[in-house]
Amino acid sequence: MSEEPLIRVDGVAKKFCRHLKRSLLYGVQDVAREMLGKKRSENLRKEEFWAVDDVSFTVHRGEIMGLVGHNGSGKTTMLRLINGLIMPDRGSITIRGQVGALIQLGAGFSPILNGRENIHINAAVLGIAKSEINKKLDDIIEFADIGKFIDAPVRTYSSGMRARLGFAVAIHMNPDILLVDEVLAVGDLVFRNKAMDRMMAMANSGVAVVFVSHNLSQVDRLCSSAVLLNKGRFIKKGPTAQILTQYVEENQPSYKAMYSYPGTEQAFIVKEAAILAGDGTAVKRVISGEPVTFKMVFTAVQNLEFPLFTFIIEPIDKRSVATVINQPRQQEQRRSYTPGDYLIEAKLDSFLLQPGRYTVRLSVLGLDTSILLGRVDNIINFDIDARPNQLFVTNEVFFVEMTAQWRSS
Amino acid sequence: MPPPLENSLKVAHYSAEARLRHPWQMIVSIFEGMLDSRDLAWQLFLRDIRQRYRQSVLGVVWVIVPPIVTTLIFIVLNERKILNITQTDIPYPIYVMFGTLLWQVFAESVINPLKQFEACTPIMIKINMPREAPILSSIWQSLFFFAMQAVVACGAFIYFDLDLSWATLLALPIILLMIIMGTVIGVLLVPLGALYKDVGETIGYFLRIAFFLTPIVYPPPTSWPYSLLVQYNPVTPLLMGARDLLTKGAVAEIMPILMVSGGVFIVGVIALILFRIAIPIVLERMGA
Repeated sequence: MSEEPLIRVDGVAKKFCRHLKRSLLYGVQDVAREMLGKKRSENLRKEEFWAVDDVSFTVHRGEIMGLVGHNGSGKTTMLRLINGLIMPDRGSITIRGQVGALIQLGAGFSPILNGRENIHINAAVLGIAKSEINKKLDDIIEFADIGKFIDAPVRTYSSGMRARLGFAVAIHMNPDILLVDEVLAVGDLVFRNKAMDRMMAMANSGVAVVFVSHNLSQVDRLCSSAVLLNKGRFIKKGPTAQILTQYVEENQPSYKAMYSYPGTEQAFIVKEAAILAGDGTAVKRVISGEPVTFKMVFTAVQNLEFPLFTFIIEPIDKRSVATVINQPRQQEQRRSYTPGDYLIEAKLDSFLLQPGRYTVRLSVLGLDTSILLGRVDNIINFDIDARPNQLFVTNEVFFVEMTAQWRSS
Repeated sequence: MPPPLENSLKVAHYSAEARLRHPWQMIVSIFEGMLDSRDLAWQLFLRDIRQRYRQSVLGVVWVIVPPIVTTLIFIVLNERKILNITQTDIPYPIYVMFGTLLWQVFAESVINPLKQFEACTPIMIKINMPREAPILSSIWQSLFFFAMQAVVACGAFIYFDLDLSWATLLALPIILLMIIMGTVIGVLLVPLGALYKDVGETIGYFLRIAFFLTPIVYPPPTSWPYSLLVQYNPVTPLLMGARDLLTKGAVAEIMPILMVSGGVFIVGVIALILFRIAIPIVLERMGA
């Protein structure tokens, strides 16, 4: 079926000005130009830059499209353009149907007024008909699930309650196109899941959704397609998994090793650290499930009495997910090191991390394990690649894939 | 519910082209915006009124007291001969009282659009709400303010024992016209005022000067060049017309009032177009 897309973005560019006073002046000029019927100027004036440049894509009914990119890559600007809040400086956008925005939950809420009154204000802001709201008032209050607070001033609400009330109103929008920006970042897990389910249901009923989030796992879970932006430029549109992989690979930082030693004297110096593949060569990329060896060469500066070495594995910017403690916890089974050079290796039969970028932190504890001899952040950076035929799930969602002996009878 | 037919969907097109290139489309969309704004404008108005009075003990007293105080000051100044105001055709206290009330209504309607727009910007930069809602809600605000002043005026009617006639009611359309004129001026100032804070400051200052450039507390001067104030100040015919109708039940000259209404209409259309054009450009400067 050759269906017309609901959103068609065609070679769109938008410029902004870094300098406040100048930007105000340009604003006055732009208004004057347009009042005279002149087109927007396509050239950059002083202090201006392209916040969005030459972006094109389409979104169809039932599609949930993620906009992915760094801070400042133009995602929010793109949403504002699609929403018709600001006009493009080049190119064009064609929108078919009613646009609903889940951009700010509880827009227009007055802190002094109570929940009920604010439902009406918020609904009016979102363009929901008054009759609709009156009919569904009880549903909304029930969905918000904030009990007696509904008659209390909104300023007495917790931020989660405010978000729930805002969301309860927002789901009564009946749009053809839904724009979502980070709103799912607020609220607790139950709320987030509820919100995501609701979005899925809307998409299934034929709404086109554009979703912006820094939380790649949400994008991964929700979106059927994604657009990658980089510094305002359109990089690629494709299936979510493919776009996310490219984004993760291109954009995730690798960090420099950072040493920190408590106390005055340095206990040891790491000279070399690496992950070795099965054949013993140092590698930066490992295929999920392959055997690996953690290798470290260090110099003990002092006597290290029964130290406890731990490699802590963390997906970039995330909490630790795995540890490799290459010495037993019982101190009797550990060894001591007199000053000198040593090599440590820890072999893992199967490295079952999900694809993504990881970093390794080394922590060295003393005989008394409450004493930290030293720690090295980002001692090793490495990537995990998917195995051939592995179902692609990034480490934004799951960290480890367990292997199991399957049996059926 | 089955999705609506594709060709029944409303199509919006955004591009770099000047929207004024399609003036008819633009006027239609402004008109639609007005219709779409009704609900929201009313809610915004209710929100503001409730907000204002729920956190106040004296409430509407703040609206009623200023015109009474202003009137009293001028009565005292005049009686003590500190001011030397020549004879007005109606008793001076009545003259000043109604002049001040009417002026306040006008001044309030000049201030309201920018105030409402600023109150709405946090929403407008995020959500595509009906564009004209701040304008409509500022008209509601001005009407509400007028209603409050009308209470004072009723008190004055009783206190001064004035005659009520059908002609008194004719003052209402003129007052409405004053509100519209004030709103139009206010809307014209929104684009610049939203960008530069100076404008907001200046409006208050100019209104204070304009108070003395309008025959509110003194009768219209007849000698040149002061008579220019009467001839070229568009507020004068409306204010004097309304005051005459309220206090004397008759209006001296109808022509200037008609001319002013024509002017208000033309400038009003320009103001709405300017507002439409300026909004996205202004919002662009506000960031998200």
